[in-house]
Amino acid sequence: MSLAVVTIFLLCIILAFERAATSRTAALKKEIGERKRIQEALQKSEKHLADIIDFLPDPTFVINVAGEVIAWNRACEEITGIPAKEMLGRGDFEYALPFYGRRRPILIDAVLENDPESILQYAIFEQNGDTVMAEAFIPDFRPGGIYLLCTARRLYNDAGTVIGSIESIHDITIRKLTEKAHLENEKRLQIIFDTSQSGIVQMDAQGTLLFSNQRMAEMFACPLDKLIGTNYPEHVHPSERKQGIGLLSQLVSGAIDHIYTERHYLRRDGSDFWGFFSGKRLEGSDGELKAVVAIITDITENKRIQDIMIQTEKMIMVGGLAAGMAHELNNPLGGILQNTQNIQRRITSGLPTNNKVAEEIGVDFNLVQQYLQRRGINELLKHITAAGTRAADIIANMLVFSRKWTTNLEPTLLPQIIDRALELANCDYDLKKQYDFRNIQIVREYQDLPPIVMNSLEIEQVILNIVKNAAQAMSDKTLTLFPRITLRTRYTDQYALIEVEDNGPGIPENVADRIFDPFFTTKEIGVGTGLGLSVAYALVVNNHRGIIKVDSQTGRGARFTISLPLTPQVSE
Amino acid sequence: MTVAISVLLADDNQLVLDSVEAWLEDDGFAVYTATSAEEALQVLTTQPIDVVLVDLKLPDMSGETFITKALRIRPLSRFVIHTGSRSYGLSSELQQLGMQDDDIIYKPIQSLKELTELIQIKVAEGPHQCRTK
Repeated sequence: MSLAVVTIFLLCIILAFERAATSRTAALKKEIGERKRIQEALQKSEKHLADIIDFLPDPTFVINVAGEVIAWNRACEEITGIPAKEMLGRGDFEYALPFYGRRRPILIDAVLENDPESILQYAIFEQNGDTVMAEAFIPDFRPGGIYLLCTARRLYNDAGTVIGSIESIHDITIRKLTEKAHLENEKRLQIIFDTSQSGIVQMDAQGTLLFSNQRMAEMFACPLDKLIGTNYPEHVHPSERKQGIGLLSQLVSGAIDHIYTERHYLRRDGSDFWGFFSGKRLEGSDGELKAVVAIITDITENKRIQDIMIQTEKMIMVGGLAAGMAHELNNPLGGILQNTQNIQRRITSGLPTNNKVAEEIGVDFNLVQQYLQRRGINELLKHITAAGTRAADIIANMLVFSRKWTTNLEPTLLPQIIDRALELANCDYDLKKQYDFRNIQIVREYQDLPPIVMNSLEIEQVILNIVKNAAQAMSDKTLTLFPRITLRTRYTDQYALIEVEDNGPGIPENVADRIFDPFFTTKEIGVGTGLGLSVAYALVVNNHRGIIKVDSQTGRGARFTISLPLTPQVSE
Repeated sequence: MTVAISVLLADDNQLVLDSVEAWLEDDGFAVYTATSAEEALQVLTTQPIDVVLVDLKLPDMSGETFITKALRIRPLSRFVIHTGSRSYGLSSELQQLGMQDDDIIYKPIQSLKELTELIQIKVAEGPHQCRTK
């Protein structure tokens, strides 16, 4: 090969190299330009994205795969107090510092892992595709702590490669605290419902019970599940039902905004109790009635004590008067009754003095007797005796009210004194006049009882008075065809009970609460003194610290229940 | 001839005295009356009284005090208390002196016949035994 050829060859090679180099440089330049353009576009796009992120109301930040912060929005700055310029570009969990006070992986890191939940333990954790949500409570973030709802997801490039992740946090402290307060409130209400000694119910406008606590069910003697759905008025005693419905409808209509009233209730087992009803309207935000909420407190015992106090007061008043009157009246009554006995004896033959005087003045006792008989004088004298005896009885009965305790307590078998009272009723003069006691069927249902400590004469008097009352009530044969008195004894854990039940006309409602009042009577003037039942009351309640009550419905007889304490009450 | 049983009635109410006196006289008792405790004690010193019917509320002293005083004068006398008070219970002192619930008769006396019988029983029982420990 010639040198020239070699040279040309070399030149060609050089030229070729040169040309290649030149075109390579151009390509490089072109590429660099392209890249710059892309970079600029990207930067512009990133700037655009950053602006959007910045604008988001929730604190939001972004990291790249290296864990460096590439976005930290205004809301982040506000909640953490760290400006973006201090945070951007920082790695090594710098972003966890303002929240937790230490460098640690948080949701934005976890989301980059394959199983994010295994990285961090959150109370609530939800994964929906790429998006992960978790609730966090950071106790030291600020006084009282902060509840955060965090949402994070991975970021990909066009090729589908992970390039980082984004997290947005939402302060849910207020919602959480409200929920907590709500829950506590609910628990508190539940405790009130469960432990309340009052019944608590909720009913709709028609009175249908929608809700009730256990206590209410106990008070109505009806299982809770059966109580719900029943109509409130059916638990009210028939005597007050109409009144109760009336008041309730006023509350429902909004005419009144509350009800505070005493109410007589009926239990499912047929017994009754007194309640205090406090009810109010439960209104929706629109002011419309949603329900009526009511609290019903059993006041039977308070009422009983109150009644006793009123009754005792009345009796003490009568008793006080009686004590003064008795002394003044018994002597003149003695004059009347004793002299009547003298007269009755002196107008008949028999006494030696009578015969002697009659003989001296020539009077024939047979003629005197005929005269007295025909002029009805013997009857008139009997009337004086009857009237005087009656007056004496009234005073004796009134004196009972002035006593507060009884003496002569002795263990007594109830059947014995009941039978004795029945015997006395059998030969009672007043009773015989209008009624033959033997026409009444007497039923005895005695439960075996140990002897009860009492003043047996007083309790005998109580039973006699009630039995007499029953007999008198049944004396109208048009009302009671087959009169019957049932006497029962039984006992509870505190009391020995005597029941006197008749099948007479019953006690009209309007007089039921007055029957124990001194001098209250429904009998004609002169027939009853109005003291029989009040004496019974005083003897049982004042003298024996017992209870006497009556259950009756018009036309369906009456039942008196006498409860005597099993343990005798000692006077102070 | 048997000696009549003598009865002393102590009561400040004349009506009561008269009516009981009439009855007991008809029954053949020798009846003395007094309207005060002092007067009754006076009678006791002068007359051999078998039975005293005494009102619980005498104007000058209580019937119970009267009985304890009267017993010093006539330890063999027997007593019946006459009262309008249904709740009256014998004091422990009177119980110790041997008096019983049956020795009380209530005003007004609805059956004077029972009073007669009570007096006769008291006399038949003989002078009451002072229960001393």
